[in-house]
Amino acid sequence: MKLTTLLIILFNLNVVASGFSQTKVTLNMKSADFKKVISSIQKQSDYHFIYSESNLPTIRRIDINVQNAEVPGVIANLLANSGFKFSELPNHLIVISATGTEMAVVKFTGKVVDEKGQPLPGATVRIKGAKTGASTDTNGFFTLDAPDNSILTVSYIGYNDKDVTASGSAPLLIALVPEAKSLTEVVVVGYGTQKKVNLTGAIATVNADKLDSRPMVNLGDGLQGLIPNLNVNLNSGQPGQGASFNIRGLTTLAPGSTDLTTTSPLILVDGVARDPNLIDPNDVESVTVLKDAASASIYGSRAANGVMLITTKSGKKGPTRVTYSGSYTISRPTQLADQVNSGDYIKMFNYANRSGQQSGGYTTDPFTARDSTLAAAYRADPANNPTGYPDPGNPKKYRYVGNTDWVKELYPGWAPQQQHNVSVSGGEEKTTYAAGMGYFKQEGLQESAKQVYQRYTPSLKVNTDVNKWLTFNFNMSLTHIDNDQPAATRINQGGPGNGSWLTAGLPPTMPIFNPDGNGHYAGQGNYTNPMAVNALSGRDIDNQNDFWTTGRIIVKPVDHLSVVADYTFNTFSEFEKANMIPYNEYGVDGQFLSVFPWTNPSQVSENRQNNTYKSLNTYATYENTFAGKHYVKALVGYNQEYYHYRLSNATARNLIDPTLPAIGINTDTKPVVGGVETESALIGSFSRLNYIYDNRYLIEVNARYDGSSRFPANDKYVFSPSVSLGWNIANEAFMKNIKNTVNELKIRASYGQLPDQLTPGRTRSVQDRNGAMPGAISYGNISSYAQYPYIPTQLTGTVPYLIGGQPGTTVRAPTLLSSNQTWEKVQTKNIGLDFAFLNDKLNGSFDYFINNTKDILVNSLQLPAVLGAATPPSNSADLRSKGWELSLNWKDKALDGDLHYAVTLSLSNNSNTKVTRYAGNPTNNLGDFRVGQELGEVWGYTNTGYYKTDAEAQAVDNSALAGYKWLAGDIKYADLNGDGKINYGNSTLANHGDLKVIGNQTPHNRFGLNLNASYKSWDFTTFFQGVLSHRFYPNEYTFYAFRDDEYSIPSTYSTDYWTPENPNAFFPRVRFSGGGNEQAQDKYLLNAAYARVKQITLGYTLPKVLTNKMKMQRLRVYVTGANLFTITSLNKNYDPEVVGFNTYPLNKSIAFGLQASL
Amino acid sequence: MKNKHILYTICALMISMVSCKRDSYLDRAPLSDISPQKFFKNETDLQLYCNQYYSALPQQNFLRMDDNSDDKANQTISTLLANTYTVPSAASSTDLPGTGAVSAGTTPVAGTGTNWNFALIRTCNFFLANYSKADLPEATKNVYVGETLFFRANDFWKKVKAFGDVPYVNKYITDTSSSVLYGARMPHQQVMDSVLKDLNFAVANIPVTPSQDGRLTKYAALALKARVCLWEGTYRKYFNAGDPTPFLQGAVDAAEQIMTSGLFKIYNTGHPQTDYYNLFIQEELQGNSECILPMRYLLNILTSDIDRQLGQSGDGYSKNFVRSFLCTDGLPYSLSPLYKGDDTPDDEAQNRDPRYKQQIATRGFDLLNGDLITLPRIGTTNTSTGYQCIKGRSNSQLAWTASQDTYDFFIFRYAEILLIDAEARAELGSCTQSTLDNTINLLRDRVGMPHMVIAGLVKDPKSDFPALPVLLDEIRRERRIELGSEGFRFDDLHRWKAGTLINNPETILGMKLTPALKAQYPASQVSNITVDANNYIRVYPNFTARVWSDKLYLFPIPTGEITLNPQLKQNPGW
Repeated sequence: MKLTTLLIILFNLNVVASGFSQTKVTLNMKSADFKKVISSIQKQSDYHFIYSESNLPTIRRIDINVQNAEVPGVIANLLANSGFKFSELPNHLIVISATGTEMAVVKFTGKVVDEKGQPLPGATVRIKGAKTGASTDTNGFFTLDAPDNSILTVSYIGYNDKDVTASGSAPLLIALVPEAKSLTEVVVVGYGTQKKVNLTGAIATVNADKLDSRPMVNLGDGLQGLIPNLNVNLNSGQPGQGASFNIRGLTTLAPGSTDLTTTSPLILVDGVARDPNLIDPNDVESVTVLKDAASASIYGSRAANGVMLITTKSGKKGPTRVTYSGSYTISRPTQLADQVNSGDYIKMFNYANRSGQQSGGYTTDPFTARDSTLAAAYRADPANNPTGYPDPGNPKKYRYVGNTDWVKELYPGWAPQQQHNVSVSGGEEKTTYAAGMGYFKQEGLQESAKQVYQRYTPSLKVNTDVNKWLTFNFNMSLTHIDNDQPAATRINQGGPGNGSWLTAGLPPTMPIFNPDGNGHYAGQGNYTNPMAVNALSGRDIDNQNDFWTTGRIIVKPVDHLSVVADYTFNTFSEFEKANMIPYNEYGVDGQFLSVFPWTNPSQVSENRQNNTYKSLNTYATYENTFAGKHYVKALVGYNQEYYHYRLSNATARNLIDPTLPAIGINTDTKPVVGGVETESALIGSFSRLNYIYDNRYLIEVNARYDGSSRFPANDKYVFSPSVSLGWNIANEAFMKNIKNTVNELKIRASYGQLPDQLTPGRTRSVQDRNGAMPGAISYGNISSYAQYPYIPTQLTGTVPYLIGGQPGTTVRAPTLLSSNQTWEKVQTKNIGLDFAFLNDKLNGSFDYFINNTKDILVNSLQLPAVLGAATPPSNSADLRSKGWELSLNWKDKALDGDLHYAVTLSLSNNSNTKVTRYAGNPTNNLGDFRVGQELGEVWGYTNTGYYKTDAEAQAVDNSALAGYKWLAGDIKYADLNGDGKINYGNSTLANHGDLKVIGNQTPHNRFGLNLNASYKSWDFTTFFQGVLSHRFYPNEYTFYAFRDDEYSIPSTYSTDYWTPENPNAFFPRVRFSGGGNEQAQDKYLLNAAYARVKQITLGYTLPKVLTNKMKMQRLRVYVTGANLFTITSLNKNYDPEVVGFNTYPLNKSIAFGLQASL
Repeated sequence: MKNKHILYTICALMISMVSCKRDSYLDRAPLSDISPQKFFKNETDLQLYCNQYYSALPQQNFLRMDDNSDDKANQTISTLLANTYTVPSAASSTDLPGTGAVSAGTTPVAGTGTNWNFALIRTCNFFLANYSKADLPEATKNVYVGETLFFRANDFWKKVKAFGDVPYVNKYITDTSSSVLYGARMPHQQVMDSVLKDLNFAVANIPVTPSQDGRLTKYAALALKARVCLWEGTYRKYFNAGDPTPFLQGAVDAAEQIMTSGLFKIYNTGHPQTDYYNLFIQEELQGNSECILPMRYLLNILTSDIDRQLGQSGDGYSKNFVRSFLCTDGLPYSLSPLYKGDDTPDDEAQNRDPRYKQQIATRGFDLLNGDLITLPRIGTTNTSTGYQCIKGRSNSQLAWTASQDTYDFFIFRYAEILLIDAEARAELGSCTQSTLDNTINLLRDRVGMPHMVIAGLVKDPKSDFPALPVLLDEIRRERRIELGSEGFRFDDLHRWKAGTLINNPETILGMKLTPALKAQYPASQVSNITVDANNYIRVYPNFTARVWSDKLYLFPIPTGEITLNPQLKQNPGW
């Protein structure tokens, strides 16, 4: 018997129609034939009919008029006396057969498995064409009643549908094959999704499968190196420190400084702008990066530096699923500089002092002969020698002669951290939900600081399909942060919070405690002893709450159209309270010396922030395919955003009880109170049109019209257009024969122009623009200048002079602003190639781009200081950068399918960032940007060794570099221009003396290599990341001994210095503030290239048999090492990943984790 | 289909949103900042604005002041006088090294002094361009115009001292293409004529009794006028740069207005051995008869960190400075039979002007809370030369505690006015015995020194100024002693065109460290100290003498400024 099925789907969009149980129909038909009637019924209801085409009732003229009638009743009436009968099977199947014949209905049983033979729970098994069917249970089994010889369609998300003809009673084993990802993968794009194969812009995605396998402190950790040209800077290993992101390098210049501005992309979490460092990385489902202007331009003026779209996990239909993941991690710094011991320190100190004395340079009190002797005695026998003795110049104080390794004392061991995440998700019928709670706790690396950082992240997502055309969506999440650290952070005295890991001026000769055994901390007012500050001076406790709610309505009023409206409300509140407690410092034999000055007088300061953010998005999408060949998708929408910042601070000194951090309990006659309130608003309307002809030719056009409160009235609005094209070569007829070899081959090209609404005000704080301003508050973007960059204001503050018995309050002069500043624009050209070969085993993409930033807001001109004000910025610079990125994936299996492995390689470079216009530097001063300059270039001198004699040194005029007399062992620079003097000319391009470009500090050719493998129950992941070419000029005091002055403690690395006996040393003669030797120069431009094993993970998933017994779905344990190995030739004082000294170090860590789901 | 209605509604709504500009939503103005349009309404606004100038007031706080002079030989040699100062490339906002008094407070405000920074001048010019909006009587407004001109004059004067000719900007510039920015420097004399005009306005309009305690008074304005006029008058005379008389006379006039007001008197409690020392460790100078304008510090409100730093500043008076103290008979060491030589610190201090022991730590001086000086603390951070400066240095533990010092400093001290009057009159040739009795002899009375009597003056054979008339010579000596460590010395050398004084090797020598004296110290403490052939401490072992160059009278202009404005020519010699 030949069976045919009919299928009509009413809504072809994402409506999950199967969820509704529609059993009643309304029919009003005249002279219809039977087939037409049942077709109508199928449309209106969930019922599906099975019959033999050649064997149907021949009733030709049926008149039927029923209202809300149950289907079986209607059919019974129709078939009455027709010679046909029907039987109803489960799942709303109705079998129609002639009265005489008997249709065999069989109870089919079977099991659905994946390509590895693992059961697939929740797979759908239907009679082909039917809307409903059976689902597999947790072990992949199903039973379904159907006529014999039915065609069953088995489907499961992520796998190709499979049709099997079911006959007989033997159980079926149905193995599904995963979908060829490149063809079906759907990518989140601006205000919607798009099939990856249909993309025309430069877009990259990372999914949960890559993120899930590694334990992350924050999302930056997990994304580093995965997406080419998404540059993640972890900044430091400080608990609570967030990562910063950049896409494709620099796109702007900072006015008023030659510092390069790192431009951050727009980062949207579920469609709203959020700080990615405040979300639990476990909640992330996918991250999409929109790199080129064409794909980002739907976000207009917010997206000039690219867009990151982060999507969080939501509930899926099916049984309730409880998932737990947790890990315990221990970590310690990757790299710490090593300070010299007391012997080397005294030797170098006195050498530096002699150098100063001999040459009229910096000098100070040297260590005496007695100091050296006693220090040597202590080093030799610490148990029987003192760490200090009374100072003859001041008998109350010690001269310290100990030997303390401060680095080791401050960072002795491994710091623990742990994270836990429990989530419950599921849903049936109309509603799905996902609820989760994350907890993270990290202790700081600096042991005595006892920093504890905790993050709590509850979240809830609910999705309800009210009916076939209306869906409600509700997301709520809260991030609560508690950070408890020493008040040392407040005074910039070596606490962990100020970003530095070691205070300057901690000489090895100073012990931790005074030698008299009274238990008093050493320090004596001359030095800050961080151990003392940490232990004695109070805490700085910060609490933050970041609360987000989004409500969303999705309406699908007619076929092909959906309308979305969402409203987001965010409130961020912070309360930070810091208590500073004065403590006494003691000298010889416990004599009181003084109160440690920097935490005196006692004080409590409170900082509060209460910010709100509201955003509204509405957009409508129409999607349809005409005549089978013309695919059209159109989007039109509106977006508005409003930010309101309020912050205040109060400081009360002279607490009645210094240890009681209560701001009201004080005798302060004039507590300090400050506050800032600003707001900003943005509106944008946008549209996008996609057209695809025959799956071969693709075009996408975007346009956005933005208005921003950050620009003056006549310049508030700006237009962002873009266009992109694609040619899907793989779908051409001539490729048909090799379709299985070349699964995808697509060429893309795009062009777009994006203005940047953040430009004015982003790069300069209020203080920068007004000079030093005691008492003025500046909180980065929460300042008048940041939010109203075109409106001059007069700041207030106090002066350190008593007027009426109190420090005078003052109102300052306004900032000088340019009246015609306008938008910067980033123009991006991008050309790309996507490909997938060999049944998708190999796929990847390549992009080449050119960014031209026009009208960058910089200082319009270098102006004479006679003006008396910072030069107002104007749009007078252009920048061009080029770059490329490549990502390659190879995925295959071996050993009879037991071993699955995947390799992902990403390579990227953004090079040649050049200034193409810069009106601000008519004299081509090297200290400023100039036309033709490649960003990151380093001008320096050529090192030709050391002067051999004092006479040789003094024969050369080095006075421009340092005024002291030059001596043997000082660096002999090459006199490039042959004028007999070593100097920088007038520091311009035309006259730069003996300077030349000695290199470029921009890191080039970043790479990431990700390796995944699983063998039976074991899985293994490792991830390498690095930079192939990076030069670094370490102008820092761990590098040059005593670079700044006597308070810069040299590192062991700098002990190879010049002496007459060591004429070929790496470093020159030791000086205090030896500026002449510390010029940028080729010899000390270090190679900072590196490759680092960012992560190496070994996991084991318990076999199903065992987990089933435990009534669990899945149980995986793993161990992960992060940053364990690094290959680099860089000086051991630095971590090549955060080059720059005195940054709180990055961690290397080992984590033990567990993932379980019920 | 009923859904269509919903669709149409939504579409219409969206189109309406998309199509319209929403200026009302986008117009946002500062919520917590002052806008210039709404400012300068009343007297409070004028006061609040003028308050910002006050941190530019020069205070005599003794801390490493006079470093660039023959008075001091600090641990680290003055880069200027060692001739190792390099031309800066960019305009800096910090004061040039050792160029006189630092600004009030611990944080000097940008652009207030001897540097190529015109921020304060711009601040003043903004006031002058806008103050008239206030609805106030002219006289009230003029008080604050007077304050503004006081500070602008002071700043231009400092720039003239540092650079000679300077661009004179007296307009508020908003147009950055303005030619004013690219002009040449205005000649020294012309700038100073304008400075004098501004000061005269300040004197005429600032009241005797200010509206708020701490604000400028007429006498403060007169004090600045006297100081500036003496500087410019003598500069003109010794550099042969214009007619000195109006300025010297201006100095006399201003000084004598202050003197005849009867409001001020030399602080004298009849204790010649302590009054002078005590004057500089006063908790409260407001109301002190010698104080024309104090820099006040109050516990828990505004404190300084000076006292503690004075104890460990590694500085020291030079041998040359110490030699200039008279003996108690009024004669210089070279003539006085009372002089005991300098083989020991005790000998050297004996029979000297009592200001010696009140400025230099000698035996028995309590450095801190009972820490008595026996031998000078050489070989430590206390002093480089053995002549440890103790002006402003108390033995109080509380004041020594960091940032808890509440001793007030002078901004204008009456003694300086008396010295100005005497010197200006002497330069004008109108200094009589009665002038001296009304000025210098009041200072000598305080410390119990014999009066300076014109008739009895004998030229010091070892004088630094052998060619100078003895009266002027002795007035200059009195000034050096009375104002030691107060930050006037380099300015004085400048205006007297006496830079070559630093060539004297004694300006970088310390006390005599004979082997006998050395033996009294722990060997390790003094093992690093170098002495010359006569056993005087050589503070800088590699320099036997400094060499003056006339270029040092003026600082160099930052090279970047000259590149930007070719009309600026570098000062000679740089």
